[in-house]
Amino acid sequence: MRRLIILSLTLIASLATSQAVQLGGQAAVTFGVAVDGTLPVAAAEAVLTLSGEVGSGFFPDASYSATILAGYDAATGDSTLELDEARVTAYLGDFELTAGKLRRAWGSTDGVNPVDLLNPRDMRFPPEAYKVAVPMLHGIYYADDVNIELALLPMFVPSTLPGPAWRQAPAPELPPGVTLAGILPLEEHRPAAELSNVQFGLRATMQLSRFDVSATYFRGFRSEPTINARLEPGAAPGQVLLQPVLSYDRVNVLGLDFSGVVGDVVLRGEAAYTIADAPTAGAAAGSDSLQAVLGGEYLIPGGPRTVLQAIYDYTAPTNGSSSTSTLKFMTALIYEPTNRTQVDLGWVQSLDGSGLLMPGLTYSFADGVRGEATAYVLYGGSGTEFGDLSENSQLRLSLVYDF
Amino acid sequence: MTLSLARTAYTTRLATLLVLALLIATANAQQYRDADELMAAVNARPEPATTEATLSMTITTAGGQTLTRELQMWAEGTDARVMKFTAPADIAGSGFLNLTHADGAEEKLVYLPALGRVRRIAGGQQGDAFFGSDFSYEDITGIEPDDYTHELIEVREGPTYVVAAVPLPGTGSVYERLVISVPEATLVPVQVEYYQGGELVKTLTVSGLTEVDGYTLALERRMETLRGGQVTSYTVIAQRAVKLDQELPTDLFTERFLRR
Repeated sequence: MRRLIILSLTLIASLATSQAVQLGGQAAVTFGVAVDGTLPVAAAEAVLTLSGEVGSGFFPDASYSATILAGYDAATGDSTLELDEARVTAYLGDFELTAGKLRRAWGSTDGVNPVDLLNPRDMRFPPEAYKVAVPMLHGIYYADDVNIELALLPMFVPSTLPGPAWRQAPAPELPPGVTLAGILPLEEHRPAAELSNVQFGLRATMQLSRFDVSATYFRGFRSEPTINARLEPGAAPGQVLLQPVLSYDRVNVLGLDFSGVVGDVVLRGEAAYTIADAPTAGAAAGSDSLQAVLGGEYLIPGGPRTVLQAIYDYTAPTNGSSSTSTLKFMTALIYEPTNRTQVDLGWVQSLDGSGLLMPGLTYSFADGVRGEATAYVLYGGSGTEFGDLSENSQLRLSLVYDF
Repeated sequence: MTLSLARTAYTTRLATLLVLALLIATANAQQYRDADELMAAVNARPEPATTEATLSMTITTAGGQTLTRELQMWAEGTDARVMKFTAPADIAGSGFLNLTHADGAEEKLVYLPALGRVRRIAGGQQGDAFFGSDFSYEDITGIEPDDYTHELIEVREGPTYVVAAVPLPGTGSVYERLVISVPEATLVPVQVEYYQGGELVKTLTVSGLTEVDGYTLALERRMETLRGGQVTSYTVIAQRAVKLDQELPTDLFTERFLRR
């Protein structure tokens, strides 16, 4: 009780000395229809954010914000009420310290960021996977020539798996005469909340002749699971059950990224090499991997802003499996034909002939009120990266009000 | 008839003298002989060391609907400027930093909270719309006289000088020519016409000239976008709560402040 009173008094005192306390938020409704006639989303969402600053100088001594997210999706039956991002930041000269449930952006490229490792993703709808705020202590030191960031993540939070329609059914190779009787519920080996599992990242950024260059080191876990499966005996002889096992590899990641202006083009690049630790008991380790992105942004005179990127993924061989590599190309075009209208096109093309096309239209009805329409068109043959997911092609319409 | 002719001759002579007198008077009133001399004077006009102001940006479309943005601006001379949007909510927190380095190189950075990253703007992107307005990034950062060649094309009543400014190669300007009107009395450019492909594409009109702390300031700028000679949309930027020559923290013109 005493602690509660002290906490309340502290909060009241801080609000009393605040320079500006703001309450804002967003209300949005989204409706979607897939090519097979199903409704993948019919959701309403409300976001409320309280933010403010404390201090009397030109710059605040501290700032804070807290966001509550509430939503309901009638198509899936999912409802949400959670504390989203919530933080307190102290400004201590050249050092800033932020604690709370945070999102932080590392990296330079668009859309795909190999070095942006601090936050897991909500991948229920993979084309619009967004970052999930997680408990974090984040410090940044601004020196004359270099900025140094340190992030500590005391608890491991995994990425949310893609929705069922976006997952590919496992097809294990069975011995002759053995049949698959079913699939058991997922078995998950999640890193325990203990000191040895605390994750951390270190990032240094400096400017080299109009280029921002950053080096990153991350020690933690892959937020996306490595999926393995084992066979369990079924109820009848000759029958087996498939037991999917999700494990999260402990990894060391070395990253490098840059952005800079060359003539009329902004060049951006990013690469991360992930080294997986030896497997722990009960969980097979994933492979070492490399992801690299290189691209440029250019404004076509009188036309759209254009981003072109090449995305390379490599997975080293492990447990007898051979290495894999893929190369994809991403194009984004953004054009504002009028002050109220934005037309954009995202296009990811894989070398296997499959791809994802995302034409979109945004229209501002009034200050803070906009409508959005985006089509997600997945195409390609059977067995290709995007072709197998083509039934998820859909149109989504949203109405958003920011206040 | 004779009288009439004589009167006509007298009247003609008087008119000629008056025109000559007027021409001489105009010539005497025209203080600047050429464009370079004029632009040097425009450039030499006293400017505050620092400026802080609250800006409101009203975008009006062809249909007459309006969108409004509020922003806070700080500037140090013409070499450093930072702008942070405070409203509406969907763009609040976004910011723009423009720096001119000692070697003359310009650096333009944009911060968008939704991305959580600071993004650089290349020279060729200067023509991109500034947060959905009729101003481009190039228009917002202003005209650096050294980046243009100037030619005096007309002296209008006032006198008001009309100068054609052609960007030098390598400046990254998206325009092929500007036509700038400068009244001699204030030396503040009050109208700028922007040409692309021989066509007038935008017109900037500056109004609300006022004296603040000994400086002549323009409190309102209206940028019209034209297509085929017709105004398709326009944006008005109005300044208020202007503070000049205040001491500003050096940390203000940094990526760090842009993100904060």
